[in-house]
Amino acid sequence: MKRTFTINISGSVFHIEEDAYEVLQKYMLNLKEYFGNSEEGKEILADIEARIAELCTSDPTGKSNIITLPMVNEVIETMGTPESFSEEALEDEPLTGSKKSRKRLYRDPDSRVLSGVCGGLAAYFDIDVVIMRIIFVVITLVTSGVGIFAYLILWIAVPKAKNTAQRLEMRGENVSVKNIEKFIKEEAEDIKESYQKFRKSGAFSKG
Amino acid sequence: MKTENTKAQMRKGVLEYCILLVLNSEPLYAINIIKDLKDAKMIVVEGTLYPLLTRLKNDGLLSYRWEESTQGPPRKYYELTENGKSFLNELEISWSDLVKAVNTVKKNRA
Repeated sequence: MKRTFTINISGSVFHIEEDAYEVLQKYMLNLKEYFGNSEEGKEILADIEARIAELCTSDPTGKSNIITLPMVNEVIETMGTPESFSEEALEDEPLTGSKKSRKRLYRDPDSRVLSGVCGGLAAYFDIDVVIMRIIFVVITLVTSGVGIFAYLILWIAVPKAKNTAQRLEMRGENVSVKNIEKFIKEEAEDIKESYQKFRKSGAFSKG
Repeated sequence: MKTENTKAQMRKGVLEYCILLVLNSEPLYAINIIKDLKDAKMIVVEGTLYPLLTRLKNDGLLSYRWEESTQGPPRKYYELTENGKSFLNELEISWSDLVKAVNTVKKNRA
């Protein structure tokens, strides 16, 4: 038994199994990153998506309109990965051009005492969050309260880093599929670790 | 790496020439173009073709029109523009010049 999703590829509706969906989505994201956001890139992507829809429709058995993992793998093999395009057609420079990772100021919800303003500033200036907090406290003491005022303004004005992409942006890392994947893996390990710690401490208090 | 680059560069020029050649006789849907190029072992993966088609179109050598299809969504049919036709003629000439040049060099050394 497998869960399926309903997706829209280039205007046609398909049912797709969960594992197949994940692979296809990753593939599409890869293509999107490769072709970029220019008009030309969008057009190429639309053409490729239309072709993928067609490949998924022409299922030889014809009995189901469910996309499975082997089908997705076959589609990817037929269409090829961005690396193989550039090998065959010698793209001198990827269409996306130079995508410099841009740092943006967010509030960091992961390292916060109040709102994450200091955490975000620390990530932006690439210093330790503790030092940032000390700086804020010192400024507040020296200026007799202006620091608090500045803090409040930042709290209101600076958005919170809500998703993984924003957290990567906050640290000035490129938002790519690979990076997001790596980031999520690290997060998952952190959670595992803290859960194990929690269990150990729980066992201690019982015993 | 250098030899790989030379090979890839030769291939790229010839690939564009081949696309124009395939489209010279009649307007075609991308899949027909892909089939011809795959038969000739010019491309292996289909994804290579779409960026090239779009670029040739933006360069004014190709144009396309939508045509209804009996199964599935409408399809893009590509055809040569007037510019594309004259460009293809130029390519034909330089291709035969190149072949002649290579053959001459080979013969002299044989």
